[in-house]
Amino acid sequence: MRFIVVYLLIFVLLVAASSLFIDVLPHGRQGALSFDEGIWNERVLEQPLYPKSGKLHKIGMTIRNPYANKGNLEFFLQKNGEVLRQGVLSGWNIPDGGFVSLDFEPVDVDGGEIVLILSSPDTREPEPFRVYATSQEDSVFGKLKVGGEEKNAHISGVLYYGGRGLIGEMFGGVVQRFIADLGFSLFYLALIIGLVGWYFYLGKRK
Amino acid sequence: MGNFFGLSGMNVAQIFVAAFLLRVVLMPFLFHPDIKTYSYQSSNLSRGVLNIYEYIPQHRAELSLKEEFVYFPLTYFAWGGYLVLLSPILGQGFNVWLSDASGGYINSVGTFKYIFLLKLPLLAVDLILGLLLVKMVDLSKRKLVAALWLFNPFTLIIIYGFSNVDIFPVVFSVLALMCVLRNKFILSALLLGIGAGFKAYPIILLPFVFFATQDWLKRILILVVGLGSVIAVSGYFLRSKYFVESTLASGLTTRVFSTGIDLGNGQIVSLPVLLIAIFLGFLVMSGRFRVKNIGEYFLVSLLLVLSSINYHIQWLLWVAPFAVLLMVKNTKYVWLVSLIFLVAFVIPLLYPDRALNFGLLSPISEWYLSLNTFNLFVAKFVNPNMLIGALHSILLGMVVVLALIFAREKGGET
Repeated sequence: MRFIVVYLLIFVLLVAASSLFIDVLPHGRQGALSFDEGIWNERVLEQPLYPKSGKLHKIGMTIRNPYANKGNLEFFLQKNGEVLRQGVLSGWNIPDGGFVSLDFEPVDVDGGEIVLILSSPDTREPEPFRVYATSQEDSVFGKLKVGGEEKNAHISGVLYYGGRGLIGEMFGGVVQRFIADLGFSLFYLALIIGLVGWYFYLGKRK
Repeated sequence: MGNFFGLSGMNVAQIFVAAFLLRVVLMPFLFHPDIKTYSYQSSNLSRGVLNIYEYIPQHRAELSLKEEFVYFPLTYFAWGGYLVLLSPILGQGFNVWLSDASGGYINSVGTFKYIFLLKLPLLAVDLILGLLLVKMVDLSKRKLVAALWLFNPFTLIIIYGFSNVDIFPVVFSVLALMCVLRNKFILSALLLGIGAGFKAYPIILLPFVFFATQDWLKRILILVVGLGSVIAVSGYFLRSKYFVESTLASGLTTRVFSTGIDLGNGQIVSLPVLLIAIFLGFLVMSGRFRVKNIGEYFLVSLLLVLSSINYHIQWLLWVAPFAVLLMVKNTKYVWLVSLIFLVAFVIPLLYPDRALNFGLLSPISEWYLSLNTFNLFVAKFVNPNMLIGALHSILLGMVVVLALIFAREKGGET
């Protein structure tokens, strides 16, 4: 039985230790991948964002690259017309239908509007990048503009914030979720107690 | 080695109860999305769908998870049969959870229960495998074989973390080994054929059963029964182009035949087939084929396949019981086999797939999915593909050494 306890302790330690490496946390969940919008040289995508206050680290989204376009996908984060951050992703690193992160130096956001602009000057219309979007409501995302035309939708994305020191927040939910399923949690505990009892009973019998 | 596991104070029954307990504790907290995907697909059996290979492409638009069913028919019927029993007990919430493609399901209240109950068949077969291995060794080695199977971290992670269906053909391949060792060759071929009804790989072992007897009538029956049972299980579906595309033309089948020396015009000398042919050919032609060593031949032939192709981590389960038997039979192989397993386990962890890394802990917190993969970590220092290639070379080298050892072994009856 000592062996089992050591085994489980190693598991718990592994879980706790690996959590220390989590320094970026998602806020909210990526929406449905309902449809996609193409991006090429003449068609720029503008996505207003209303992020919660904090240190924004990256923005994730799902992008299609059905023609294996090797051109660049450029992104800009703007606030009141001023460029806060910008970056470039090579089409080589955009798999068709892959989840792609726009990484940038962390930027302090205060709850006001910022705009994410996605463009690809060296891409022609027949071979666009296509960003997945959804019409599900989400307070973080404003209405998407594609080629200057406003859509009743937004990109299906997720924002990531700096997250060190949030271990309590990370593990708090697990106990709650476990106990919330009362029938199962009682059965599970009873099963464990029963097995422990059975183990010692077998030990006494020998 | 028994002392390493602290076995001196435990009897075999206690080892099994302790292993049962360990599994019960871990099961709800480890998760790979594959188990949800093939459960969702297999749940169509309760709606009367018999040909899942045709059903998915024809109803893709209305299905929330659109992947093809890549396993062989018995997997669908066995897993689907279990879900037929389970679904009414768990109610509509379970079906909603299974069909949830949003990613939010991992935080839903029933998640621990669903993951736990979905893994019960794996637990049952895992413990049955432990019992079979115990039955296959001398009384003095039973505790050790039970401990090596039930407490080694590799099989625990593969079965309860990655939760793939490979454990079903594995149990049939171990039963086939038992039968060969008891001179029940035809039954062994039948069991390999049934195993191949879940996943194709046990058919690789059929040639070894073929050469285990000198009787040509039995040899013909071995081929007829082994291949016949595969055809009996899958024959009906062979008419379906979707079955061929999603199952026969995917995964293992193509990898085995597409890795090797390119002769041009799309013709490839398959490296796994070549290595097995050399190994088996040498054993037979040199007169060194020994039925008592057939467990080792099973181990080496499957290792030759894995080490010469780009394999999935759960495929390591194919070799695990044979590796355990070898380590118990002859402790001089413990270090070599452990090293082979360690290297073989590390290689897939370096693939750029979050679900293969800390993502297994996602029931505890979905934020584990945001952790970088080992692939990205390694990429800071070295090209991960170069490292994987180097490890693969070492792995293949070690397996070839193991093959040479068994190919050169003399003595005893045939």
